[in-house]
Formats: sequence, C-alpha cells, structure tokens
Amino acid sequence: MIDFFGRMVSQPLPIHLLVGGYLLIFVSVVHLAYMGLVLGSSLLALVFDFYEFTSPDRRWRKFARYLAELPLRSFWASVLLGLVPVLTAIALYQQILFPADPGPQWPPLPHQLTTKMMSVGLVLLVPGLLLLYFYKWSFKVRRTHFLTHFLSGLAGNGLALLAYLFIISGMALALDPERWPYLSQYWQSTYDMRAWIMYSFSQISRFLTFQVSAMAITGAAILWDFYRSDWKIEDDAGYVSLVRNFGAGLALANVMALPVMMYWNLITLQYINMSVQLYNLFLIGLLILLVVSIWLFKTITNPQRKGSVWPLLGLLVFLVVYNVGEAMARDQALLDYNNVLNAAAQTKLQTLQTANASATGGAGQEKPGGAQAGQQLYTDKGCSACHSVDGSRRIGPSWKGLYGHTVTVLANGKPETVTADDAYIKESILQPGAQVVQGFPNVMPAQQLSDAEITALIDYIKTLK
Amino acid sequence: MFKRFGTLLFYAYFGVFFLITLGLSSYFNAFHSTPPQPVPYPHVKHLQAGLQCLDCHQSANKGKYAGLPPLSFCMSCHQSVGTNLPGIKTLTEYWKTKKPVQWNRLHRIPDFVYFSHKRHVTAKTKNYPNGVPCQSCHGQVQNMPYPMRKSRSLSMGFCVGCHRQNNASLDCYTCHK
Repeated sequence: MIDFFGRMVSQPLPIHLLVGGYLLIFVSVVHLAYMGLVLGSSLLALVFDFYEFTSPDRRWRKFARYLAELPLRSFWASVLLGLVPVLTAIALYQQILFPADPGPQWPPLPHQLTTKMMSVGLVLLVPGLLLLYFYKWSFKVRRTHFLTHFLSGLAGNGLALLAYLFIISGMALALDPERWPYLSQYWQSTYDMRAWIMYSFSQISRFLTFQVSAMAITGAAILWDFYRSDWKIEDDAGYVSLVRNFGAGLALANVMALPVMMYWNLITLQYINMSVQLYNLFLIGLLILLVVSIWLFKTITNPQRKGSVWPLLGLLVFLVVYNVGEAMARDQALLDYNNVLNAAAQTKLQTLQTANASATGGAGQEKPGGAQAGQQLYTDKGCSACHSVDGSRRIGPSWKGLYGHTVTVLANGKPETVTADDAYIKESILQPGAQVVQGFPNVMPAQQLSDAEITALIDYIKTLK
Repeated sequence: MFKRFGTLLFYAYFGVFFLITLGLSSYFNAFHSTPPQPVPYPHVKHLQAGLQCLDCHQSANKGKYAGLPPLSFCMSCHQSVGTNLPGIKTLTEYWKTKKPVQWNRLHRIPDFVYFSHKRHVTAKTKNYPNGVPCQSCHGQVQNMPYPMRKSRSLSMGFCVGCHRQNNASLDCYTCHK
C-alpha cells in the first residue's frame, strides 16, 4: 500500500504543497461530515433497536429503521463519500510528508507511519460499511433473526469507529514532528501498540471531538431530512414531535459540548502547532456554534417551528473552520519540513533548467546571454559579498581586469604565478583552497555551481576590463 | 420569559469561552509567538553564502553557550556587502552609534536545567557519530528565512526522548544539578 502511494507522488514543488493543503481541507470536510452521519445515526439506530426489543413500541422501531437508512440510501454515494476520500487523503498526506533527503538530522520517514495508519483504517472501514449495509437490509428479517441483525450493526459500527481511531491517529501524527523519531524507532524495532495509536492526548482529544461533532451533525441531519420527506401523510403527531425534538435535542447537546472538546484539543496541541491565527479561527468557530445553538434552542421551545437545513449548514461551516485550523496547525508544524522540501525543489528545478538549456542548443544561448546570466549569478550566488567588479579591494580579489592577467597564488603554501584562464577560474570556484591569491585569506567556501553557470560567470568576468 | 432567559444563557455560555480564548490568545502572543528581531537577519541567506553554524556561534563546541557574534564580526563583511539593503542600513546604524543589537532570545531553558552546548555538539553516539547536529534541537535553520523560529519545544519530554534513544544518561542529576 505504501509503495503504491509512494510511487504516485513525486518531489513536490511549493504549488503542490499549497494545492495539497487545500484539497485536504475539502476532502476532510466532505468525508468527515458524511462518516460522522454514518457513525452517529447507526449508533442511535442500534440504541433504539435494542430499546424497542426490550419494550416494544412501533415508534421506536420505525425511528431505528429511519436512522439506519438515513446515510445509506445510495451505495455509490457511500463509496464516493466514504471510501474514495480516504484513498485521496492518504495520497495527499504522502505528498505533503514527502521524504526529502533523509540526512542524519532528519526525522525518519513520517509519511510511512501516517500512510500505514490510514491504510489500516481504510481496510477496517470497508467491512464496517458493508456490515452497516447488511444491518440496514436485515430490518426485514429482524423479527426472526434479531441477534444476527443486531450484532451485524454493532460490529459494523465498531469496525468503522476503530477505523477512525487509526485514520485520525494518522492525521494527528502529521502535527507532531517532535515525536516522529521515537515513533519510527518503535515501528522499526518493537511493535508497540500503545505508542502506535494512543501516542498523545492530542490524538485522543481529536478522536473524541470527531465523535461529538458526528453526533451534532446526525441531529442536525435528522432535523433537515425528516422535514424534507412527506411525513405529514403517514405519520402521527406523536412520532413527528418525537423525531423533531430528538434531533434538535441531540444536536443542541453536542453543539454545547463541542467548545469543551475544542478546548481540550487546543491545549493538547504541541507548541509548534500554535499561532495567533489559530485562536482567531477558534473565535469564528465559537460564533458559528452560538448561532446554531440558538437556532436549535428556538426549535425546541417553539413547537410550531419546523426543521430546516440551516443548522446542518452551520455545522458544515463549523467543520470547514475546524479543518482550516487543523491545516494551519499542520503548516506550522511542517514549516521546517517544507523549507527543506522547497530547497530540494529549487535544486531540482535548477537541474531541470540546466538540462533544458544544454538540450536546446547551448551555444546559441550561452554566447550572447552568458555575460548577462553571469552578472545575475554574481548577485544571486553572493559573489558580490567578497569580490568587487570595480577594482576595489574587499575580502577577496576584485574581478576587474582579472581574466587573462597573471596572478601570484599560494598553492600548498608556496608562491606560484599562474594566468587567470578558464581552467584557473573554474578551479577557484570549485576548490577555492587549492590556489589562494597572495595577500588574501583562505576563507572562500566551495561553491556548488553547474558547468553552464561557471561558463556564464567566466563570460561575465571577461567583460570586466 | 423562559425563551428570552434561555437565549441569554447561550450568550453567557459561549461568551465565557470567547473570553477564555481571547485571554489564551493574548497570552500566546505575549509569551510564545515568534518575536520580531531588531535586525531582520535571515539565516538562509548566510548559510547559502557558505557560512557554517560555528562560524558565527563560535563557542557552541567550546562552552556552555553557543554565543552570538559581536557586531564587529557582522561588519567585517557588511561594511562592503549589501550596504543598500534596509536591514544592513539598520545594522550600520547600530555600528555607528556604538549600540549593541539587542536580539530577542528564542531558545531559553529554565534556570534549573543544566545544559551545555559543548557536551552535545561534541557527543559521539551510535545515531550521531559526528556529534548531535544543531538541527535536531534548533530545526532546519539553514533553510529558515527571517524571522528565526523556535521549532522544537525543548521540553523535558523532548530531552529525555532523545537521551533514551541515544543511550545518554537518564539520571536526574545529569540535567538538574
């Protein structure tokens, strides 16, 4: 699985990281909202199903069946909203956590840990969803095979929940680079489950926040969907008010609990995730929750008021805010990591450009533009720090009138006289310590320049008479 | 009556959270955010130009503190290099008025922790045969633009995790003298 995703991604450019970040927000919002509804409504269906079994009441059975069917009306919608986003998210994380040059100071391969955890989640999610579909279907045989019916729902819900423990662990892992070295040590040597999943409070609070928001979304979705269907004809008033009050109450209770969960989440984030913007975003989230909770409260206290799509939309906007916050925390955590990736991308781009330049007739490009490009390199590469072009003395010798003149150099401590030709200048750039001009300190660091760049610099030096 | 009272309760409930967030935010801003520096010094430019960490932080492998270079050290290059840049102009201003640059310190560990740079930079372990690289505690500074940022928490858990991985001493007395 990892190799599959590893082959899919390549050395990211800054634009890849940016687009990946935005896509990840979109995918998470759509997916987590849908799966929250699946988990929440199937759990409630199980509760009412069991409750009706112990104290028979037609209303509870009807409500349980309605809840079990609510998110699972279309199989392909489930695949599109439930399974495909996980695959996409794995690929996006693989891209964002791309392993640049793993040096000694580099945390070893975090992308492997994230991908592994999310892949395990995906593998658990598929049978979980299938079992939930079976549960929905088996309402027909509920009377004769209650145990099979009930246990399939329970197993499906449990599997899906477990899948999210893994998936959310994988997401939380990206926020905590400080822990990567230790986790990968566990991963490589001893298989330590505790370190692997329950590795921080940040991860646990994130998982519980997901469940609370799942319940809030379920309540709001009931309130919207129930009023969308033509309940007036077939349902009695008691059932209508039951569903309505239950949906609004469930949503309200969980909307009230969400700020508490968010605080837990906020205080367990690592130092390197935090920024002032994250707190500001938190304030926006609180405002949205306030509006939604007042709307729900008014629905409960006023029996004439009908359900509508607004609380659900409000919660979706809240999810967007929450996931933007998550992306900001991730960006903060990966700032170091991304700096390295960007530097690697620049090197890669330069090699590509040099290869392009030499492929498309180097002669035509270098001769006229050489001195121009050399002048650019003179400022870009920092040559100007030590070498003047007007004959004045800086840390290194001036380039004015250098080309073709004889210079006295110290090679291995002995003075020698050489002519400043192409070979001499090239050597002085690549191995500055080999021949040092007399009277100047041996302080120049070796430069990493391509042959084309060196030729351009020499062309530039030639023009400095 | 109840309806109005109930709505007020919601305002109060979320208002409390709102105030807490504002408080936390200003606390973070005052004590934990990346501070601005008197001179916008970009590490990435200097390391790209070929300088090494130890060229400026000269006592990192010699003593307890890594140390900052004196202003004269900066000026040895910057009397002639990049003199038209606004940051260098600020630096020259400090130099001319003979005032030291008061950098805002980022990496500070509590007084009760004994920490020596020399001991870490010159340590030889299985994972770090050439000494602990600066990056493992200070982040990828060679790629860091202005402002310099603290990228590891330097908490006790962070120290102990690395000590454990490298078979360094876990004795309390090692750090808490």
